[in-house]
Amino acid sequence: MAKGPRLSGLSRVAAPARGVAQRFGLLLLMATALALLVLGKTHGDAIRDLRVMAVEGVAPVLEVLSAPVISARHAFGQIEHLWNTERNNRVLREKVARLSKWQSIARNLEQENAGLRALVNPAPDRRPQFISARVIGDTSGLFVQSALLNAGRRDGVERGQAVTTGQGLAGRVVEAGQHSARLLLLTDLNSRVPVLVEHSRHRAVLAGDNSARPRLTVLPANAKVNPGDRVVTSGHAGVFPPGLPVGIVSSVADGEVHIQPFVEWDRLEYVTILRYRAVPPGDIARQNENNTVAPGSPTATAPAAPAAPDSAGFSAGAAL
Amino acid sequence: MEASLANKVANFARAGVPFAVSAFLVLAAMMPYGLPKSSLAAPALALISVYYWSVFRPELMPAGAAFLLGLLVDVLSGGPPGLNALVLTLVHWAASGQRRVLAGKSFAVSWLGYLLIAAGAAVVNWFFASLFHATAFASVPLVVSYVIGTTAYPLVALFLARMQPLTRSA
Repeated sequence: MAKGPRLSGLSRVAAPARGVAQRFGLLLLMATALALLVLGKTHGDAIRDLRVMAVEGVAPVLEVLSAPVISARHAFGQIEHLWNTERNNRVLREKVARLSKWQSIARNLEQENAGLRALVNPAPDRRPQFISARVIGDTSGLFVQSALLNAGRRDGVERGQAVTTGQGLAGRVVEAGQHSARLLLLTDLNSRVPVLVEHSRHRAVLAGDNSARPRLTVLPANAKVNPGDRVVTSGHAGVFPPGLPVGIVSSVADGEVHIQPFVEWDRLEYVTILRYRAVPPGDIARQNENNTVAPGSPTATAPAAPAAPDSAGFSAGAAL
Repeated sequence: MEASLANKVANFARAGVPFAVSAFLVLAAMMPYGLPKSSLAAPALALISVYYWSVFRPELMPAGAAFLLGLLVDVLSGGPPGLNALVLTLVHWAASGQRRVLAGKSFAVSWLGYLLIAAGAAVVNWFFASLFHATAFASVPLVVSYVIGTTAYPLVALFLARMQPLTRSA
């Protein structure tokens, strides 16, 4: 500002030139932005690779910034927990009573299952391996519902892998860098998950629509679906392991079926990425030979025993 | 000579303050707070920053910086590439073009200016995103983001005004 008067002679000459340069720069930037948009449409893969590289650069910053945020959330969670101790105790006791019954049922079924398996010798489903990751960025924006994770290709994360929480399926990996990955939530407009309505065994595709409750599509016309029905992954297309809990039918109206996902999005902190590939037909025989795990024995890779009937489907899928 | 070099470095750092503060606001908005819709504050905060600096210190938020900030939002959100870069460049153009009207008047005038420009930005955003995905997008997140930006503007503008002395050369 102080230099203003001294430069006035010069700026009288330079100002129009600068104005032209500025306008040209502005147009150039807008043209670049538009070109990026067009390239994003025509060369989506290349643009995605560039984005993965850029995210890799920002991820360490996000990781450092998010650590205290997660700690603070835990601290608040602890306080809330202490505050509700009495109520939680009561709820947990009721749950233990209910689950004890489930446990004895599960034991019986396990025995029966092992016996039947020994009889028919089925092709085993491949057991998924688990990668744990922390959410370092809640990046759900105006048009895409996603989150950034602090695990990448170095840890075995690849595009297409299913991402779950203890509650159920959260989505899939759509971008994987060396040290970071992007999780596309199953509520996103571009999310498609092959699923199964558990009771009727009808197959469908769960399609996100950017709302909190994704829709069931490609459902057979005669399918009977009722609110409260559980929906699990079907394993078709070989991307996701079968039997992962997804959600429950929340509404059936005018041929539109909406699902309430099991995952509580507000509590998305740590997630499990499943390394899973469906068994190609040629591998089945070989796998049968190599399958030394005694049927019915507890699985080594499963991180935890079924915690609730809700996750029984998931564990069954993992243990088969 | 040394002093002038130090001065240059210091001035360079000062000139970077608006962009650094804006980028930090964007990253801070994308933390996993566990609050519903909290990440929708990120594009709103970027918009407020670009608007504020374009009106009050346009030489410290050149079009290129607005573009880069938009690109940062695009990269992190995974949305249509270049869309926020385009929107924020337009915001810079509109805000710096009208700065004689917007700056120096009462706070209410600059707030009203923000409301109008942010509304225009939301329309551009919606139009190009719908074109990009070949589907008419639900505009709920845009409206939520607009409301967050509108209510947060006074607070963020106050914060940015506090940052402004850092940008002044000694």
